Order: sequence, then structure tokens, then C-alpha cells
Amino acid sequence: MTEDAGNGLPGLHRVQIWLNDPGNWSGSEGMLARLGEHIEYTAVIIALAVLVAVPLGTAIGSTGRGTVAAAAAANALRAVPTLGLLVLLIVVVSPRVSIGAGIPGIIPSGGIPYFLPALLVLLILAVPPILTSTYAGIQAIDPAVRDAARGSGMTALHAAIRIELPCAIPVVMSGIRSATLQVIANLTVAAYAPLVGGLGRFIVDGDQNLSDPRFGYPAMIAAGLGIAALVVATDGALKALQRQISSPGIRIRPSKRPS
Amino acid sequence: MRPGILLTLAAFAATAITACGANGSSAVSENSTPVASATAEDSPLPSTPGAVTIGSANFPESELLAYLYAGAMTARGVQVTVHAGIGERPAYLAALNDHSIGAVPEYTGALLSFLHPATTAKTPNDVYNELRTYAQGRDLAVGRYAAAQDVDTITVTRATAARYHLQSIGDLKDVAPTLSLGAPAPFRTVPYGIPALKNIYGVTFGRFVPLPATGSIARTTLVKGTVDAADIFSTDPAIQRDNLISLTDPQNIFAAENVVPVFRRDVLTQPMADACAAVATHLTTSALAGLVTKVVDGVDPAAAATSWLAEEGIT
Repeated sequence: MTEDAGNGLPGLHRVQIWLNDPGNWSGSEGMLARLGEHIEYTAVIIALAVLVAVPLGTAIGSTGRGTVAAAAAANALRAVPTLGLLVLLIVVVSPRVSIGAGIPGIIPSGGIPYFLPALLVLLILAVPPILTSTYAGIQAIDPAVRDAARGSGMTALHAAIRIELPCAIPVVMSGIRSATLQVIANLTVAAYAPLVGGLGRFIVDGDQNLSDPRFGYPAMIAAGLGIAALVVATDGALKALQRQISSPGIRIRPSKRPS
Repeated sequence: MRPGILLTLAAFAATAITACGANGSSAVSENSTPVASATAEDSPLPSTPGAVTIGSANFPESELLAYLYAGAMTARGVQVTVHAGIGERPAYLAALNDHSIGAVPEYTGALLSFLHPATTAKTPNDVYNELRTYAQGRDLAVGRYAAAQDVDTITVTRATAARYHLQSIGDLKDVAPTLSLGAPAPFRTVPYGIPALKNIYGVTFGRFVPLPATGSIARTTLVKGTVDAADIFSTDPAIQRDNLISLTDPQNIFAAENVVPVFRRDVLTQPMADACAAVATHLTTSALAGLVTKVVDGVDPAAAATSWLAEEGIT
């Protein structure tokens, strides 16, 4: 009835009213709970993506084998339309998964069959940047460093883990950062799946209910702002983490930094 | 891809867009009798068969209905052209307005609330009578409406219905607080949604699960027990396939959505009206749901329409 934009929609000031209403922040369907879910989902997805991509990328980078195949696969995966694949998986996979239980505080009971498609789709999004940055980072290491490691008696595995990966950390972390930001942003569409939370819930539901002052577009904009803030904060945190875990010898320092 | 998957996808796509068809609401009240006659009694219609281009919205059920009316009218000598899949309501009503098409299948409640958003009519007759008035104001004429409705229903599995002895929505009153309801997100706030369930039937569900407005996902959540009840369109193929029970809505919280043909007034002739009336007489919600199931499963809408018209003795 009121779907025409600019026609019958309450004004932008509604967003401020929405944000100032404590009822929209608290409770299991409030902004804070959704933000928490968003962070939890992101953490789970990035952890899984790192577990897959870093060992694989290290192996590819230090042996030099499979670079072409990995690059091709990563690029192909990047081209997968997230929402399209998600809907496909919800329609095809969810009806075949029979897990009634949930994970308290993260996924309500009955939600796992719908969370799995979202997880898979976002892994497809998160793995390629980490994979490519890991092998690229390792391949970029000065061959003299690798030779020195091997020359001092390290095995290839040892050299990869103790020398090459630590040297590549800044590049690997840039991949992880880029993957994390993409996951935070794209988690929004995961709410297309029933029972999956996160800030996308406000956006997906609000889109169907635009003119409603509480569940409509004010909630969508508020959630959008929340996601933007989360992205900025997370990137800052990851930058700090990167500095912490990079060996002082390879740290990239801004040249004109006042100290 | 396996054919099963393709079918599921087709069903998904189909039900996704069926949502556009009936954006308002009502219950399946098959027993409501269509009112006797149809259009513009004020002036007699031309008795020559005439010619008409019938359009349709861009979802399978609408296309099917266009072919049903087209087949019946052709049998009465009308020269019919079908222009299927025009788009959503604003698009095909604009086409009707600029003479690109002369008729289009519609749903009484959805069209009425498009023409007159403030309407409060709920029962099939009230909605139809009000629709006729507002259609006339736009130089449109509506034909006789069919018992068939594509309307929101509160639907449960047969097991749930048996366990709690459910027949009408009101029967949920005592058990709803322990059950969950899945429906498109707006159902939480629209007047015919959760507010009506509470105020009119005293039914408050323990949990509301927002679902995408696509029948396939609603079906999955319902069949798997993720939700105990779901808002599903009355012609959704899942209702017959999965043996689901749509609860009756005796208080009409969902406005009637009877299938009805809408014509430009200057195009409509008596043979056209008679042909559409013949379709209306035979078309029930379950007949329509059966036809939609066939179309979603890949039968050509024109072929499905032709064979049904022959079976019912209309052509």
C-alpha cells in the first residue's frame, strides 16, 4: 500500500527517534542482541575461513605448486552471487537437514538448517581473499630468507611455519581484514534465512515493511549505521592485532609518524 | 541439476511472486456464494462477441487465469489475444488504462485496496460490491467473481491440527502461546496480521518468526516443525502436496481475494461476461490450487487451462 518511496513513508527524523528508543536496543530482538549475533557469526565464519585458507595458502605459497589453480578457484568463488546461492541453498539444503536443536544465545532451536547455508555462502566469500593473500605473501618473501632457513637445517614444513608464515603476516592479515569486512557487510543477506539473526534481520524484515515506524526503514537505517560502525571498529581492532602479531623486524612503519 | 531441484526452484520462484498477487488478505471461504451477476447493469452490454487482449501479472497463477478466461471467451466467439507476464499491479493497470490490454485477471481484495486503500470491506460480497463501485469510477468493469481465492491463510500441518483439534483460527486461542507463527515480516504490524489475530480471535502466538515472502521457505519451516503455524497463500501447491490444513477464518480478518476478471468498460461485451461467469461458476480454490500445482510443475499454462475448461464442460 505504501511501497512507493517518498510516498507515505515517515520522515528521516524517525531514524533518530528509533535510535533513541531504548526498547529498540534491549531484548532478544534488540539492536544490541543483533549486534552481538553479528559479531559471533562473523567470528565463527572468519575462524573457519582462516583454518581452511591459511594452511592451504601456506602450502601453495611455499611449494609454489597449485598457484594457478588456487588463483583460478579463488577468482571463480569471488564471482559467486551471494544472495542467489544463499536462496538456492535454503531451498535445496535446508529441507534436508534435520537438526532441531539450537546453540543457546547464538542460534534459536530449529535454526541450524537455515544457518548452514548462510555459513557456507559466507565461507565462499571469506576464503578467497585469505587464501590468495597468504600464498602471495609467502611468495613475496625474499628467497634469501627461505634459503637461510633451509640452510640452517630447517625442514620445509618447519621453514614454512616458523619463518615464511610469520614473515608474510602483514599480507596475510590484510587478506583477513578484507575478508572480515566483506563478511560483516554480507552477513546482512543471511537474514534472508529464517531464524538467522544478526543486524541483517532489521534490514531484510524492514524491506518488506518499509513504512512501519518501528520495524520499517528507520530500523533498516539504524542497522546500516550499526554495520558501518562495526566495520570501522573491527578494522581498527584487526589493525592493532596485526601490529601485535607482526615481528618487529617486518613491521611496516609509517615514515612520518610522530613518536 | 536433478529435476527435483529444478522443480523446487520453480515452485520457489512461483510462490515468491504469487505474493505480489494478493497483498492484502482473507480466509478460504469456499462456501461463499458468488453474487448472481456481473457488470454494468446500468447499460446493456453489446451482444456481439467482440475482441479483447487479455493481459496477466508476472506470476504463474495470473498467467493461468488469463488463459482460463481466454479459452472460455474464445469458445464463445470472442477474438482473444493473450499478453501474459506484464508485471505487477501498477504495470498492468497502466496497460489497461492506455488501451494496451482490454482485460486482466485480478483478486477482489487486492485490487480494491489498490483502488481504495482505506477500504474496510472483508467478506467476498462486501469486497466485490465495493470493488465494482471503485472500478466504475475508473471506467473499468469487473466480471463475476469465482469462489476461488488466493488469500492469506493460517496453515498448520495435519498432525498439529489433530493434536490441538484445530479447524478455525479461533481454536488456536488456548494453545497459541506455546506455538510459533511464521509469516512475512509485515504480518507483525499490518492490521490484518498479528493485531487482528489478537483482537478478533484472542490468539497470541508465543513466538513470531519473520519469513521471506516465499511459499517454499514457509512450507519448509512448517513441515520441519521450525514453526507450528504459517501464513501461506490458499493456492500454494504445498497445501495439497504436504497435506497441510488451512484454518478457517470465520471472522474474515483476511479480506476476501476472490478471482475476478477486470475489463475496460468500452471493451466488455455480453459474450465475454458470460464466458467469464462460466469460469467463475466452476473455479474453486482447490481447483485453482490444483491447476497452479500443474503449472509450477512445468505444464504450459495455456495447455493446463484448455484441458480444465474441457473437463468442466465450459468449452
